[in-house]
Amino acid sequence: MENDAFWGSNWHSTVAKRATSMSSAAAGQSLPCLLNLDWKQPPMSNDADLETALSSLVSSQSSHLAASDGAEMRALGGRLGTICNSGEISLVAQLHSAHSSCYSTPLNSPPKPNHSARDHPVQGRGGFPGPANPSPGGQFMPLSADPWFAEGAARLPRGGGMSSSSFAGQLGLLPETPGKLSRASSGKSLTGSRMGATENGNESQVLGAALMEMEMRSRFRASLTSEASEPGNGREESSIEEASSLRGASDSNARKRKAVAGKGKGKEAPSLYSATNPANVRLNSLSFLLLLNSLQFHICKTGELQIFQVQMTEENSDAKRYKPGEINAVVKMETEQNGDVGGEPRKEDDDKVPEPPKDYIHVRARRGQATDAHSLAERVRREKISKRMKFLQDLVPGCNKVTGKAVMLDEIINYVQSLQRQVEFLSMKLATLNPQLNNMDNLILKQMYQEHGTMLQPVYPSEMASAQYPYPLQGIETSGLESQLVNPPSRTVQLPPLYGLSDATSQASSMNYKSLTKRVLLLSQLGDFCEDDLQSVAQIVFRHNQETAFSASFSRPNASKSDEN
Amino acid sequence: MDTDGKADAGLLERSRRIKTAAELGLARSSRGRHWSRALLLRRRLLISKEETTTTTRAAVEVEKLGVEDEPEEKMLQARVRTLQRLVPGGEEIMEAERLFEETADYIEALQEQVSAMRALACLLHGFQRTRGGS
Repeated sequence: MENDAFWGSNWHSTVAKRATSMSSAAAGQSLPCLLNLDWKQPPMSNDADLETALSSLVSSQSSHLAASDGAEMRALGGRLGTICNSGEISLVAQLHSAHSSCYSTPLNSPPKPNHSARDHPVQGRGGFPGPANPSPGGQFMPLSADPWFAEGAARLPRGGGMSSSSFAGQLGLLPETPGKLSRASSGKSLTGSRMGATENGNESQVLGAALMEMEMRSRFRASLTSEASEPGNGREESSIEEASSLRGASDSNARKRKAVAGKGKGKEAPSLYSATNPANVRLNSLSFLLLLNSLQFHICKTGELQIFQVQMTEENSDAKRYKPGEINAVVKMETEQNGDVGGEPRKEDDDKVPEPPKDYIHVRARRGQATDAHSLAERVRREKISKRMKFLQDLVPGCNKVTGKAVMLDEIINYVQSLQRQVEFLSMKLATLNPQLNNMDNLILKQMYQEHGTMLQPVYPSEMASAQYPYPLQGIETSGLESQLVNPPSRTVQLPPLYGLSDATSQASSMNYKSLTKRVLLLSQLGDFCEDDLQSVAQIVFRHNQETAFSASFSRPNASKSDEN
Repeated sequence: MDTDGKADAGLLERSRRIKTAAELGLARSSRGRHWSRALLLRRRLLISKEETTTTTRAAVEVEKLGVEDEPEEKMLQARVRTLQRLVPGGEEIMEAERLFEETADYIEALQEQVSAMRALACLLHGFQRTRGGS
């Protein structure tokens, strides 16, 4: 069968069986079985272990991780640590083109994951902003995805090691995997934080790493997915997303691949997306409290700490940027408890005496500065601006070393331009890759949906309902890839009218349908082994095309996908 | 497929549509941000065939960034104006801190969009390889 030819010998036997059974199954219920592979599988050979670990990683999110947060995550992190150890390149190559023979070499022989991990970012970087040609782009794509997955996998051990009370445990985990992480995330921020952790010299650096960890975890938890509605799912997906976003930045700009971490000072741990899950918020807040305590102990009380605390309390009042959540409450409580930060509008208060934070933005006047109203307001403004610039500095990779507003602004501008160019390039590439894809807004929305959790919920049903529009409008409102994946215009009897494509695309639809069928099948198989967002794409598709699509697509014999186009 | 010219034109058209659709999805995903509203507005204008790209271009930021030196100030202002042009809806933002806020949010959204599109491209590329190899 074609499926076996794809995966070759590297396929795990159980999974292969399931895949074939999946492809021949007529019901959509077998898909969850495929996706819910038991990740506590018995140990096996190296490659198989990688695959199983990865498949369990991407599949167990929906079922297992909710059960026991800490232990399973730690075990999963251990597995991922082994993944990082023993050749993430082969795994990623497998991910992207396991069915292609050109990656058999890295697949069979991952001898030096160090060098290849370090080389791949370079290659990925060089190759990515190339012409919109699928084949060289395809060459570079897995390479560029290597550090991505490596980072995503590398980050998970850390995230897994963190429990609600194990701040020290997290730090303990840091020296645990320095080697792996230095291999997996060379040139990225993790290296800096890891080195800081292992050297054990600079505590602020360690705490900075912890802060970054904190922030990332808060981002993870903030981006809970909806399909499983479980913290582990969102954690992993968004971790992969986070890593991929960072990788996306680094791929196009080599010089930006510098350490981002080590920000023990002005780091804003509650990022834009505060956690929505109460359990995770509690976890978040607890670790954040620990973080704050240790920060105040270890970081010298200079202006930076003041700024940090100013940031903390400012966030309580500045609800535009940071969604008011329990994080802010915790922060408020913490700062009040410490009693260190405080202040009222500086009209009359100009000394360093700490006061409990009120609704106003309070600024601590430094020694020797003018304290009249005008300059105070000016200083408040400047500190706000510098705070935002610090946040931007964290966002743009490789900007910690840059000092000065002008250079910083230059970096930001370059980064935004490069991101926009990447979007353009990717849209061109998608246009070549998928001749039938006309718009992606719904798909992208769902990607975002996966990341942001419930934010898109009101949008989505309206788009599902608007599928009856004529095509030009439909191109805007309704799904692109989805509708094409689902809808065989020749078989509209079975499908719900939601995904009705107009006759504009029905001409080539029969041929498209074959390819789409094949795609669906491949999606079902790739969904196990791809990164989380690919799997989310697959799950998006499957979630909405469940019985009808599968029955429609699988009713055709598998010989139909022999060759088309 | 068609001839090269037609294919290119179709490609461009498709890619443009994909890009705008992606932008739309991006904008919708971050509701309530200024740049997302500006993006939607811009897209609606484009759809209705009105190429009014200079809606409020005159609203340039005036505030000083707190740097005392005069030439530095000018340089900073120039860069801030560039950033204003980059971020959708940035020209309407007057304050630096708001602009930086929007920039940060826009950067995050762009990162997510890039990762999503990249994942999609990877997936589709995998399909294409399979189809070619079968």
